[in-house]
Amino acid sequence: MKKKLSLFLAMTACVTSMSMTALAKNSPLDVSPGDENSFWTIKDDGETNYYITVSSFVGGTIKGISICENGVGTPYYRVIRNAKGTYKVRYGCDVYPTKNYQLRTYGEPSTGWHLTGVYCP
Amino acid sequence: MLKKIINLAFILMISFAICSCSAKSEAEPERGRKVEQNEQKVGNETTSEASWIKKTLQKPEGAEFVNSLNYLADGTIRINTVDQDFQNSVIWDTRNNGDSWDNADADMSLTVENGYGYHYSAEGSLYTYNNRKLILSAGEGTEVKTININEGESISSAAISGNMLAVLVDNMNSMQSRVDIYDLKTMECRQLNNPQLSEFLTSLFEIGGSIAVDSSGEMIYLAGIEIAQYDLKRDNFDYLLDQESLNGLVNQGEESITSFAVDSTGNKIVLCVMDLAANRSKLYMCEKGIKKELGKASEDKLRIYSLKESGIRQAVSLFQEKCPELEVTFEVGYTGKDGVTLSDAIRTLNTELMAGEGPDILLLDGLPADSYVKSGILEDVTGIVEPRKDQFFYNIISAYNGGDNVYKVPMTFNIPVILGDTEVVGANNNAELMEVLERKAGNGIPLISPENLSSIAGSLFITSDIQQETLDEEKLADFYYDLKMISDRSISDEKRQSIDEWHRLTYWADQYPTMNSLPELDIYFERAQFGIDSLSLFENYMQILTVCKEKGLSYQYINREKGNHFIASNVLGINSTGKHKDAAKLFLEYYLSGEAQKAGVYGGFSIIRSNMEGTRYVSEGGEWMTSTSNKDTPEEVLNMYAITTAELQELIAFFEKADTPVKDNAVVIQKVMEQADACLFEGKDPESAAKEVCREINLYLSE
Repeated sequence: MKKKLSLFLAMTACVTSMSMTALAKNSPLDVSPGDENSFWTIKDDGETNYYITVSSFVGGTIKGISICENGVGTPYYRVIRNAKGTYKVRYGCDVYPTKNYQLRTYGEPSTGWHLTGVYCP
Repeated sequence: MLKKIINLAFILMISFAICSCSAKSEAEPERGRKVEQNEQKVGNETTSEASWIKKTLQKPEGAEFVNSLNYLADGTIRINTVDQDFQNSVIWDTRNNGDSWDNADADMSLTVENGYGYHYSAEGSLYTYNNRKLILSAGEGTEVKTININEGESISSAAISGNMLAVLVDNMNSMQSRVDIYDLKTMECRQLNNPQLSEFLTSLFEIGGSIAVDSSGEMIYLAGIEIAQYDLKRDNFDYLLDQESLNGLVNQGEESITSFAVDSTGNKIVLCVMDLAANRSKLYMCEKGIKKELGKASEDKLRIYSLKESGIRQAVSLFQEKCPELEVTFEVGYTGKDGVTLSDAIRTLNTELMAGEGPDILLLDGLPADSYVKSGILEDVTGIVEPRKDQFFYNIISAYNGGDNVYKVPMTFNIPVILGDTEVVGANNNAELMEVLERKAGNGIPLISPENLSSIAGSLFITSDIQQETLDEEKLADFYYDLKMISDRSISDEKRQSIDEWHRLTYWADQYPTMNSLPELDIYFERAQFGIDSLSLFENYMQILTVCKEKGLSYQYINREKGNHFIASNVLGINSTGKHKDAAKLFLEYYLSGEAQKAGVYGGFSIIRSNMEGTRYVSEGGEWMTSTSNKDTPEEVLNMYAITTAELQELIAFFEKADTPVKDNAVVIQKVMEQADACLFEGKDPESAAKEVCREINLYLSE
């Protein structure tokens, strides 16, 4: 329950900072070695950024890529910053509304990293 | 040992397949066709300009992750690796470009918490670092030096040559990266102020770059989406590899550069990438300076064609890796960006196929696959698939091939399902559904959500009997009337006019078969009475289960009187007149092994049954797993729970009932949906729309 509440608060924070009417879907994020991918969630708007809200961050460098199902678009890996609040990350490639997206991550060093928060494609 | 023998046999089979082909093809890219070679030559091969040639370096046995990579002054490549459990840190040297690795027996006396491995200067001195500090030693018995980074800053990467230490630092406040240069004799630090370098460093901040130095300590290299070089003596900034060239060496989306090293000539780069599909590090040796003959194209290549971009790309890369002797190309016929229409692309392909010069493997999605079977273009692959039928959802493979021999092999599938109460779900056909909806309209809750309109329209069409050999004009007009009714009873005129382009039907057709709208969320919060979704991911199933359990609803096949419809995707066919039929069959076998599918990015369930098992989605406890909400209404959360074993069996049983492929010719659905948009958003009357579609499409279908 505590986990749910903290995720809800993070999601609320995510939205407060964005003030948009678009319908992309928030997805809780809980990634670590061996479980590096977020759940698939719909990108339902044409915005060329995705949003990350970090609730907890352990490790050195964590990089992520927001990928689209069926391999369309070729974004780059970006550093996920241990920042307060929600921040936006540029796709740097075409985006495809109505398709499912997933945040894939990895850490450097490759062990001992863990990230929780919210991902919104 | 057995694995090695199998691999060897596999390679020999490929070699035989290629060598046994006498005919040669030039495979010139057609207008508008995007051809990507998975071999390793980068640069313009039609001139005498230099190219970059990539070779995969074998890592030492047991080494899975590479923590550091450096060139020593004598040309030795030194790496620090750990095994698959991130243990057993070892320093390895190679003096023959990766042909063999020796245990370096190097100094490993310095450690730092959460460090990025053991690094070595060009002279072999040890240094190590984490985000906040760097420690280094000039050798045994010498003083250990420490560099600490300010609050709000982070060390991204570091490199040493001689007395020069270059540190790539990220400043979180200014959102900018910078390079600090230390004189290790005096420990004085200076920052570089070259404007071009600064601009490059700005872009590097979001990517998270890596730094390297040459053995003279005069040249700094920085890797981001390009590899830049900065001459410290001349204050000169340039690019060693531009974005396009680097993209040719690294598969963006599948691989990410973690470190790199450049030799003293600047003509060799060793790239260390994280291979996300395989979850391990990979090393590439990239060499500059190999020149190609004018216009010389490789003649032995396995050509894989897809009408649209596809997740099969990952499988192509993995197959290429397994068979480096074989050049594999992946071609996309329709990009939607270059003026080539869908029907142009298909005609171009058909011309090639008829001339016996078509691609070896066809991804049949959106192509007139049935006519290819009738024309003998597709190879009978029953012998490959049928003996292993128990491993697959063979009902889908069989139904997709009309119960006869197998020519078309769907690798993934999804099931369009209707979600609603017993009345809605109980409708046996589309006519009954419309009667139910008429009754339900006006009860205070919209029939559908606007965002679900296109999925409803598209799914109703592809599961209907409007298309047989040709389109039935009267039925099509009725279909447009039905859509108008659903839309009029659910969406106000004002709202309809503000519906985004990507929720319109033409876009649906363009993006088919991977479009989603998550009607579950709107149904759950009573903004819609029913919806149509596509069971294409476990996430969809979890959402459907929540709505069904908590709202007393259920889901069912659409228009099931006409069959239990499924959408086949990533459908492979082998060109019976292709130059490399045997190699194409090996690709099909490889794809059916499941390994490639696990690594791929597909919008659909795998045809391979075992891929349903052992996923993170299934747990006996059915505990809370995740949730979803709209970006702008985060308080309206749809919780998603782990799928229990019994629920998984239910899903598998549901899949086993699938027996009818939808009718989804890309040209047909594009025209039908374009005119549906005209009816719904521009007020066109359904009869005129149907007439226009049939005039054009029935001619096309008769070709």
